[in-house]
Amino acid sequence: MREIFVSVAAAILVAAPAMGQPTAVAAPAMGQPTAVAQAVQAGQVGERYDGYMGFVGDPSAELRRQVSAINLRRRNLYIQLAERRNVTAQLVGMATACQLLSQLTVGEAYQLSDGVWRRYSSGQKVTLPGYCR
Amino acid sequence: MTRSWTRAAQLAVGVAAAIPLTGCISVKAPDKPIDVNLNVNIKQQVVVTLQQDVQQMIQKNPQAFPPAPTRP
Repeated sequence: MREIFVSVAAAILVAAPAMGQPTAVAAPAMGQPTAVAQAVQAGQVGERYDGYMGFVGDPSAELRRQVSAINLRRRNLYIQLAERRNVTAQLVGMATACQLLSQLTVGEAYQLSDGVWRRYSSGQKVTLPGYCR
Repeated sequence: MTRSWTRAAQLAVGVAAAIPLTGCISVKAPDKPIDVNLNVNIKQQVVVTLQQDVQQMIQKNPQAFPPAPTRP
């Protein structure tokens, strides 16, 4: 059983960079909601400066539901870490955004604290908030 | 006669003692507080110290943070 899992994981790792549209194939295996993965690639959904995902346009009901689920998971994680480190959950979200915004892939949408949605293009430098390091 | 001299001397000593005090009072705290900068610094410090925790949290929770290939 374990061997099967390892070989499947290896296959995904090998296949992902080689294929043009790997997200739709890999996403269910990773337990990731497909609609979100597709929307991220299409730039309809993106990372916000506060550590949550947001919509660039008007999302479908299903997309809204899946993104809300992700944000709810994140919120719980932020609260847990905040309690462990004795800081606010808001600050944990901001610290998380610093990392997520520095790991964008080409085509992804992101929102900085000015509220403007931008698309990440290759070689572009994302101006992270001042508190990011 | 001597009494009035003593009195005058006392007065002079009192005045002399008071002069340095008025000089001290003029020392003030700076008008512009530095705590605006301090807030940013504290925020930055917290964000920096959280980085390792945050990185682990992202890696351990792929359902909350959609992983590769979206984010390799």
